[in-house]
Amino acid sequence: MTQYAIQTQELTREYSTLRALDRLSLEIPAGSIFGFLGSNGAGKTTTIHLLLGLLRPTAGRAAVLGHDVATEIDEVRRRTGALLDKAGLYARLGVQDNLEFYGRIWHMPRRERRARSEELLRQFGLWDRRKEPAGRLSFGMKRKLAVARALFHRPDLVFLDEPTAGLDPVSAESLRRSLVDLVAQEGVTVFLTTHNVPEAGKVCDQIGIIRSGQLLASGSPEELRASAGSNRIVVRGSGFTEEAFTLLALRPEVESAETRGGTLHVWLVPGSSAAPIVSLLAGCGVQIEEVVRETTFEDAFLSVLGAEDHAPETARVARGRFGAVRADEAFALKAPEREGSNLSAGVA
Amino acid sequence: MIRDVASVTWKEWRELTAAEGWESGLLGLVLFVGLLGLFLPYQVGRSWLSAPWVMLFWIWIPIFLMTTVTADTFAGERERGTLGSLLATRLPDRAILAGKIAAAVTYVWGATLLSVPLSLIAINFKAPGPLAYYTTGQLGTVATLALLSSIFGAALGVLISLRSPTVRHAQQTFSLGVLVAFVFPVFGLQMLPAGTKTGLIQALVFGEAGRVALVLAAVFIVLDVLLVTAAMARFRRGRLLLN
Repeated sequence: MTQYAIQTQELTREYSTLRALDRLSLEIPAGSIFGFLGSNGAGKTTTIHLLLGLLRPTAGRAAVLGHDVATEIDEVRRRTGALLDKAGLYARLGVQDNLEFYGRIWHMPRRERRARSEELLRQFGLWDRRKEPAGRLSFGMKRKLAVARALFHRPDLVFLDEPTAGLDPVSAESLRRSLVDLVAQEGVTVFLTTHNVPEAGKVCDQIGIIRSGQLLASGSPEELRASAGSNRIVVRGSGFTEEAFTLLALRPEVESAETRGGTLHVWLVPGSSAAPIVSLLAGCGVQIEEVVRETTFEDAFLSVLGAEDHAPETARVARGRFGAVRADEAFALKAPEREGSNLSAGVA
Repeated sequence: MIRDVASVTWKEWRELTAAEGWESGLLGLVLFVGLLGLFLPYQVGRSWLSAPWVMLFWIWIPIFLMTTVTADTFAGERERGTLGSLLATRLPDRAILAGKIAAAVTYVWGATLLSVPLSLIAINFKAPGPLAYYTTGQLGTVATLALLSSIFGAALGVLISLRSPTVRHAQQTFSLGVLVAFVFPVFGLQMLPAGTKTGLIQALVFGEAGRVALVLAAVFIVLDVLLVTAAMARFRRGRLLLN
């Protein structure tokens, strides 16, 4: 078995005027869950299509499970499974027939097909609906069935293109849990694309952050967190008055702040000290019990994008040709994830 | 390879028959075949069994039926978002193509053959007397011509569906093609010299059915080979997705 499930070197794909993927070099260890994070149009789906031989690269090379994608694509497809951007289920076929078809494609014996479909449908909570046409399932159930289908023939590597996109939080969590359990049971390598940052932080061993076809950073969530430094302070205490919030919003060190239950979360401008903030809060009569400076994976992700935004102007102009997007345009990370009052609108 | 073709054919058949409301679809097909299989033979009577021009009927029915069946093959998968997943599987290009053609051919050919016994019922009902029936040779001729024209229709339909963005577009293009293919000979016939035209009509009406069938079969074999080859040449995974 090869050490890396996926290796790419300077992999590039251009469409007439657009460079969808720009010199992507990746090494993804076998047996890991790799999360490819990026906004819509960042190049995630193009990468999967290139790795599955559905598109030809303009330049560069890629090897999947030790097989060159350009010359041994049949072997690549034989050993991989995929859930692409569209679930690709046959709506008129029954739930079980959708799996049956893929079992036939991979030449699984009849008895094994039956057993495997029962195992997966039970695991994903679809067994009772196995006879129904797939088109009658809810959106979340369809995604689950599509994931089950991608894993049906026990591939060594599975590509999942935004498996939880469009799911409600409960269904998304349920699907994530089933996926993690299955991966642990079967030792399959997962290449997962998402624009859901917390999801990637929770599920993935390795993460790559991509924007405008360029890989900005890669590593484990811990490595990315460590490299980002800590720009968030969590203040536990009481007496967070409106006056304190107003004054906080005026501080140049503060990017945004919000309360969650009895704690105040303050995001600082990179490189800023927390001391003036603590003094300000104490001066406003806030009774502080504890102040912790910490970084979430979400912060680390924003830090990577922020660092890119502060890159030299020439580099940004060069990317602009391919339609680079600003971080604040591409991601709406904080709002859906946080509760309570939010000062970000009032902070310059 | 044969196993892969069978897998695709199995899926296509399941989609055709396991779908919700398939009974009404099948009923429509049976009604159509029944009407044609009963109505025309009833009008023509016993000469239906021997007239050379009847061979054209066995060619026309499968091609007509193909319009709805083949339009869905690739354009339908593209429209419903299943094409990408299918192309990402280990199935070889030829197996996907051959499987889809095989499914369409068996479905339409089978439906066409249904009208054979119906035509006998109609003929015997119209003209009572000694039992009218097809000889083995006639049955073989009918089955062969229907099969060859089914392959022609399936290959043409798949070829059109390969690059059509929607099922509707594929159906329209196919229908237009069929219309041109049938109108062209009629107009072409008018432009022929009078002697040739008369000879051709006489051959179709009074000639030897076996000879007409042989000529038609030869023409369709050539057309089938050309269309299947063209479909294979046009089947490119990357381009199918981009389209």
